[in-house]
Parts: sequence; C-alpha cells; structure tokens
Amino acid sequence: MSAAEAAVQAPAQTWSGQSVQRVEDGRLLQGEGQFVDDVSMHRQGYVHFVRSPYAHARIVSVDVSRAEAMEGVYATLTGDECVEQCDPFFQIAPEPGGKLQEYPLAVGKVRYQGDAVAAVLAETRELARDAAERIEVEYEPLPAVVDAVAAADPRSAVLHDEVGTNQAWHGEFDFGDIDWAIEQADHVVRIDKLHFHRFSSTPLECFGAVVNWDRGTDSIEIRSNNQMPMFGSMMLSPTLRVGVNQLTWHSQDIGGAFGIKIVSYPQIGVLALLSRKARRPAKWTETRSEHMIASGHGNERTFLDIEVPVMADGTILGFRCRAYDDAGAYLHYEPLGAVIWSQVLTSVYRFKHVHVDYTQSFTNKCPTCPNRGYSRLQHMWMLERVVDTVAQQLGFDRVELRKQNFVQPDEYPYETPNGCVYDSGDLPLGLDKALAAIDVEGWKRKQAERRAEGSTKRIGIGMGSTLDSGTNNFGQARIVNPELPFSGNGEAAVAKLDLYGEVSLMLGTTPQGQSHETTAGQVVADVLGMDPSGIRVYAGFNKEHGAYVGFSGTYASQFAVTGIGAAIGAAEKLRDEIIRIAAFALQADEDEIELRDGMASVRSDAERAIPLIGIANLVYSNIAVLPPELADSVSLNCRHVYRPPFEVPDHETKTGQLTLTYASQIHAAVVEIDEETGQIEVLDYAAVDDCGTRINPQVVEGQVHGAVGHGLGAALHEALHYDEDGQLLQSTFWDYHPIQALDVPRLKTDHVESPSPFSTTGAKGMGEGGGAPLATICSAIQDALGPDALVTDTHNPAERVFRLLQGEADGTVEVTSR
Amino acid sequence: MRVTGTEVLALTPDEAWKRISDVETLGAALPSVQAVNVETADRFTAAFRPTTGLGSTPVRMTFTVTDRQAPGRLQVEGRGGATDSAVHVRCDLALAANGSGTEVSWAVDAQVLGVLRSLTQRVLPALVTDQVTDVLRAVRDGNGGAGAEPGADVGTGGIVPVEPGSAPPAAAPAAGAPQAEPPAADDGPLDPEHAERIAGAGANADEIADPERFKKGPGW
Repeated sequence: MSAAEAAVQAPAQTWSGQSVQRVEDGRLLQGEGQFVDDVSMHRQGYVHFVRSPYAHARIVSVDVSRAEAMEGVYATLTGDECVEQCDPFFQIAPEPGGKLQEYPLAVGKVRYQGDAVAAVLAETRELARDAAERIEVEYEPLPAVVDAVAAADPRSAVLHDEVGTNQAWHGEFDFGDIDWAIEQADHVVRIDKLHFHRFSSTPLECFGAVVNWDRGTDSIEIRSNNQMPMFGSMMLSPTLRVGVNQLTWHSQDIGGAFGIKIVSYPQIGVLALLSRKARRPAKWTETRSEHMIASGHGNERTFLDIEVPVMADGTILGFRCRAYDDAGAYLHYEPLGAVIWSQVLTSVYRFKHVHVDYTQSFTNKCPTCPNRGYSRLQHMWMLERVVDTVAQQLGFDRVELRKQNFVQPDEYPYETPNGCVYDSGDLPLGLDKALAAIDVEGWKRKQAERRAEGSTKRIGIGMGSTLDSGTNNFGQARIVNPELPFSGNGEAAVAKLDLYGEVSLMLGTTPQGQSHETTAGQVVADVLGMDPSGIRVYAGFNKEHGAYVGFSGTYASQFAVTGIGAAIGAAEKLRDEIIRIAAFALQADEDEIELRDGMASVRSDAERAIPLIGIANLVYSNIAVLPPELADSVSLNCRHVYRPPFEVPDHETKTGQLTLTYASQIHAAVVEIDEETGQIEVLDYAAVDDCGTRINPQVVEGQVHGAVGHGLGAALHEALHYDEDGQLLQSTFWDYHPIQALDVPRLKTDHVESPSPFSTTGAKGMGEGGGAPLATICSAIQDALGPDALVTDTHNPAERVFRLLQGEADGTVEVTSR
Repeated sequence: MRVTGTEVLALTPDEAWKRISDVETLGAALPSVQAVNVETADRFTAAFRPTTGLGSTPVRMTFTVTDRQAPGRLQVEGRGGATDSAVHVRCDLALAANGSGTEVSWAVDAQVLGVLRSLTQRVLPALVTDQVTDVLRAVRDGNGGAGAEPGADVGTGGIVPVEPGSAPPAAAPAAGAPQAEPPAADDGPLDPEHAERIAGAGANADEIADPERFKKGPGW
C-alpha cells in the first residue's frame, strides 16, 4: 500500500455504491437548467435553414436576392459560398466512400428530403423563417434510391458522382471456418431475410447552437448541445480552415442525445460562416420537424441469406450472412458503424465460426448516425432472432438453448473469435432472474389455458439479450480505414483545490441526463475522504477548462469507465499534493497523513491537523513559506487522463480488443395479441442488467428504465419510413408516436453484479441496452404466433402482426438436416 | 397520387365552360385564397391556405392552362409549394351536358413532397376531392372565392408576390394588362355562407369588417 493510499482510511461505507440523490435534479426540476435555447449572445441573429423537399435533385439555381432585400435580414449562405470559404469535411471512410465531398450546405445536388441548401440569419426567428421562404431554389428532380440493397446495384442512380458508386464501404468479416461448420452440422437453418428498421431517439431537446465568430480575435465560440465536441472540432477545424485552438465549446444541460448529437457539426459550421459574414452571433434552435427529417437516424440494416449450423445437441456453431447497412445520404460518423457491430460479433453466445459480408450503402435518406446501441443492436437482434428460430424449427426449449450457448460464467474473461475480450458476467443467472421476475411458469399456465379455451387473445412469452460494449478502442477505425491515425481512447478530468479550500472537478464529458455531477462527486469524495456535497463538479463541458482529449464526450457507454477513471485519477493526484503539503505543514511523514472530513491530519495525533483552506493558503497566497522543491512541484490543479489498456487492432484480420467492458441486459416479456386486430399489449416486462459494480444504483435504474422505454417504442410504435420518392412519412410526432409513459408497462428490474476486472471501480459502461426490448418483443410475438409465422422485422405494430396472423410472410426459413 | 370525381353544376355547358376556363375565376375560387395574380389568359399565381393534415398550410403556386379544348376539356397544371415542401398537380376537367346542368368529370394527379407529404399522407385523396369540389362550387356560384379570405387580393395584373409574414399587397397592374376591377360591393370580402351565418346573428359583412363594431360590446 502506497503512502497516498494509506492516507485515506477506507470508510466503513464508501459513497460509491450508494444511491446518492442526484445533485442535478434541483435545478432541472425547478426549471433552472440551462439548455442551448436558454443561451443568448449580445447582438445575436437567428438562423433558419432552407431544406430540400426532394430526395434527390440537381440544384439548378439558388436565388437569395429577395431574402437579402428584407429589412432585418443580416446574411444568407448558400452551398456555393461554402465551396469558396470551406474545405469538405474529412471522411473516415477509405475510397470509394472516402471520395465523398460534403460541405456544410448541399452543393450541386440535394441527396435527401431535408438536405439544407441555404440558410438565413435574421433579426428574429420569425423573420428568418419568412426570409427563407423568399429564397428561390430551382431543382431538377432525379430518381431516388431508398433501399440499401437496391442502392448497391450498379444500375441504381448514384448519389455522389465523385464517389462513383453507392457503396460507401464493404468488408468481409471471416472468423473460424464457417464452411467447415456448415459441413459438420447436423442441421442447417436458413433464413432468407431479416430487417432491422429505421428509427431514432427523438431527444426532448432538439439540436441547437449559438456561434460567434469573433473577428477581433479570430476565435469561434460555440455554445451547443453537441455531445462529442472534440470530434466536432476534428471535423470543423479543417473545414473552416481554422485551428482547433480557435474553437471553444461550452455546454451545460443537454436534454438527451443518445448518440445523435454527435453529428450536429455541419449545422454548427453554417452558423460559424453566417456569424463571420454578418459579424454577429448566430443562433439556431432546431424544430421538431427538422429534427425528424434532417438530424440523424439510427441505422437500418437488412440481413440476407442467413445460415446457421447447429449440432444435434443444440450447440450452435456460428452463422453466415450478408448485411446491407443503410448509411443515408452522407457519412456522418460513418462508416464506423461498419465495424462497431463486431464488438459484439457473437453477442452473448459462444459461436466460433462467423462470416459476415458487410456492405454499407448510400441512399436518398437522412444520414444515419450513432443511436443508442449504435450498430450493435442491429446485429444482436439478428442473432436473437436466429436463436429463437433455431429453437422453434428444431424443437429446442428456447431457454435451455440460450443457456447452453451462452458464454458461461467460468469462461470469463472470454475471447471472441475476433479477439474481443468479454470481461465478466453471469448470463444464465440473468436469464433466470428475468424469467422469475415475470413468473414465467404462471404465464405458461395462462397461455395453455387460453389455447385450450380457443381464446382469440393469444399470449406470447419472449426473452432477449444484448451486450452493452462500453469504452471504444478507436483503433477499430483502422479496420474500416487503415490510414486513420486513431487508436485507444481516453478521457480527462481536472481536480482542483481552490483558494479557500473548495474542491472542484472539471470533466471532459457532456452529460445529457446521466448524472455525471452526482456520480463523479461520489468517487472523488471517496478519494479525498470527504462528503460529496463538499465537491463542486462543474456542470457540462467547457473546452477552456482543458479537461479534454481527442475523443472526449459522452457516448458509447463509457463514462463509468473513462469519465470516472479520469475523475478518480485527477482526485488521486490532488490528494497526493495535499498530503505532501500537509506533511510539510504538520511536520509529519506523508504516510502518517490522513484525509477526513475536509481536514488533513496526522493519523496518530489528532491535534496535528490542517484544514484544506490552510493547504490552499500555502500554495496560492503564502507560497514563500514552502520549500522551493515543494512549491515548484505542486499546483493543486491536477489534470489526469484516463487511458484504457488498449492495443492497436489488426486491420487485416479485423481482430483485437475493440472495447473494454461488456455490460449485459437480459429481458423477458409477456404480450397479448388480439387475433382480430393484431393489437399487442405488453402484459409484463422484466429487465435484468449487469453493469458490474454500480456506482449509483438509482442512476443505473433510471438508465435501465429509459433503455427499456426506448426499445419498446421502437419495437411497437416508432419507425421512419420513406416512400418510393424518398419522402419521409413521419416528419412530426403526429405520425412518429414516440414512446410515452402510458405506453410503458410497469417494469420489473433486477440486477447481477459482475465487477469488471478491467475498469478502475469494477463498473462497466451502461445505458445502451435499448436493443433488448426489440429482441424480446419479437420473441414474444413469435411465441404467440407459433411456427406458422416468422417474425422477420424489428418493427411490429398491430398492422404487421395482423398480416402475420393472416399468413403473410416477409421471409422464409428452411431447415436442412443430415 | 391520382384522385378522380364528378360534380354536377347547375349551369349550362356554355356558362360552365366560360367560368371554368377563365383563370381569373379559377384563381379566385381557390380555398382560403389570399392573393391571385393573373399573368396571362393561361397562367396565374396564387397564394392560398388549403387545409392539410394539421390545420392549414400557406401555399404559393403557379397554375398554367396546358390544354384548352372548348367547350369540353381543360387541363391545368400547378407547381409551387410551402416551406420545405413542394406541390405539383395536374387537373384534367371534362365537361358534358347533364340535363339542364353540366357534369364536370375531373382527375387530379397530385404529388406532394417535403414535410407536407408526411402531413397529408392519409388524407390527400379527401383533401383533393374537397378542394376540387369547393372550387367547382365556387365557380358555379360565380362569387369568385370558395374560401377567399377577407382582404384577399383577387385580381389581374402582374405577379404580385404575397410575402410570408406580411399582408397581401395590392396587385400591381402589368403594362398592357387590364386594370383590376375592385370587387363588387355585393360580393363582399366574406365567404357567402359565412356572411349568411353572420347575417343570421344580426350583423352584415360590412359591420363585421368594421373593427370599431367590436368595441361596442354585445348587441351589435
């Protein structure tokens, strides 16, 4: 034990692990939060975008003269001006997708309904909107491509002439020997098509930003709700031809993001250009319709020709399939999704042989982007359908088949065929708990009774699982583009003792409801031996705090590992400095000093103690009394970068540790289906989460509730459909029907706690378990429908279920047995 | 989307043709029309507010008569739209004698793009039917405005854009174009049915249009 570690006597009970009340709630519940639309700057104007009604069209002309003639209009911006003033956004993709040239506004063509062709900055929101109506855009319509599989056909209309194809990225993921497995298998189950539909997160707060390009200092101040501002800097700095050190980012409260708010950088770029042109700040608050048509959607994915080799005893050897992912019109954060799914290549199962032929296509739809469970929930849903279908077709018990193929508790750390390492878990226990929570045996009896009665109200019991792989290794980007200089990950924090002994913590994260102030305060309190109420965790993100690294932000279920790791590291550095100064002040050895209740004292002599204000005084205001060697080596302003222990993956074999921790979610549900209408009612629902050591159980519980609601909404209500002209049919909440409290059944929750050996506290990132309800509801519907129907789509509103009840099939399944 | 229907007008075929083929009459008959500006005998621009899925939406469109075969066939195409939306319509009208009246068979090919596409997806056939029917009935009644808003600028002349957020400006006569005539006093600024309802309450259109009346309290 080091002197520093010994200095803080472990309290009988740590703050970490307790359901400490959220410190954020006071301001949020009293309407005192500060969201982006609450931010104003002196002399600001308001921005309105002109968006294309066409999904695919050539821009013949853009005439802004009538808008500019209006009194109160400060400036307009067109795509042609962007070409003069900007460089295209850098692309993550290699060629051919990497040839894509995207500017903040559309240039030459529009490629989806909602593509922004011009923008207006005016004195008021209303005037900006009215002026936008005066901008005359002449379009020459082109054929729209709305299906990722069809888009890959060389005969389809090409979206990006400079790319020359609609194939944004293609790769084969080949592990083990799937041909051998299929030859050896006693049964091969073949499913011709499964489809994961397009939906989104619809955060309560839409995109927004206030941007001021200060001509005097040539600096750009960005107040926004972007959730990954340093990625935004990576994109905007070269595009705007400025240094990252000219960009400042600041956010406080963010009303939900779910990944989508990573991709607000094109709009922020437009605001910057308008601000520079008009020499005044530019503010934009996205409308709900804009958000629906043009912010970002979750990935739609189609799986074709799925083959599953199964042994007679139920061992599933692996799978083969072709996957077509729909990127939409531009690559926003994509094609990272083309590799991120492989973090969970075999999901919760021990499959050894996998071959996936993966293609990502451009289509004339809103660009896709990270969306709760990004890229992985699609893949894991497919595997859950596979397991259910195998059970049904071959007569296995669904529960036992799952348990047999699960990664077993004694196999952790478990290495997948592509080199990912699952850290810990107990999946069979999780499934048992979920089924017990819904009283599965009781529902089975009711199900049997209904069947015996010939009831038209069928009962279905379902189960599903996901892995929430948290803390990305950005080295996986090299699997999609070996030229990308990305690897590892990290997060920064700054812990500070201020002039009068106040403890402050600054984070590099951008919380959107995840309780960072609360949970970071808890772990820092444990390090410094004090009450969390004595620690001020700065709300939100401020680049000027210097607490950031290249991938700072809040996304990909990583705060509990990276953000907390950084907070603890910074607090430990601060603790070490406090102890050194206290040892000098108290004329004691460093290993005699303990921190407790805001005091540093000599462990064996309670009379010898100095408060934190005294420590601060010695460093800030009384420094001449310190020995020079001590004075020169302390600052009480301690920055720490947490670095997960990643190596660079092998891009040729597509193997490596792509993510650090694996939380698991196992859900169970009971649904009732009305045969006459297809209407579904969720009668019972249970969610069991294993996110390792829980820092704040109540916060975890909140995340579980949110994820379940999100997934249920997607499974039963929420879908973004485009018609054959590329027109979005859900541009308002009137058509989209986002999940509401009344749509969510009373949840039963439980947990398994398998501490991660890889993280500082044993915690795993969590919160992205929104995919589990999709698998669970599909499983329950399949159970209710029986073998005469095959559930092949994630989205199952009443009308689809009704069609399935009528025998209409979207896909087929075949079994070949030896 | 193609929507079809028929309407019998209590007009002779000649009278029906005279009214229907007159772009000024057609324009004025648009629902909740705010302004109509006739460019030529075959072309006019209109700003109006058709009912859509959620309330009504301000739309600006240019209509062109693309086929005119007196006395029985007329084809009108319209292009325009609203913010972030585009509307393309083609309306074929066929007139035939029906007893003492005239049967008008119509077919509309409507393409709605943008946010309006989403808003109108379930109601577009009904909206088209209602609006064509309203226009034909307004033409029948000869009052030049199925839903003309008070103060609507219904006249001829050069293009007079109705700017968003502003009251429709007065029409500016194009050089050589006939001077727009002021609406006849008995036409009034109100929808006839509405005026009739109001009249039943003891008021008339002129009184309603007088803001001072509202200050006089109950009993007006």
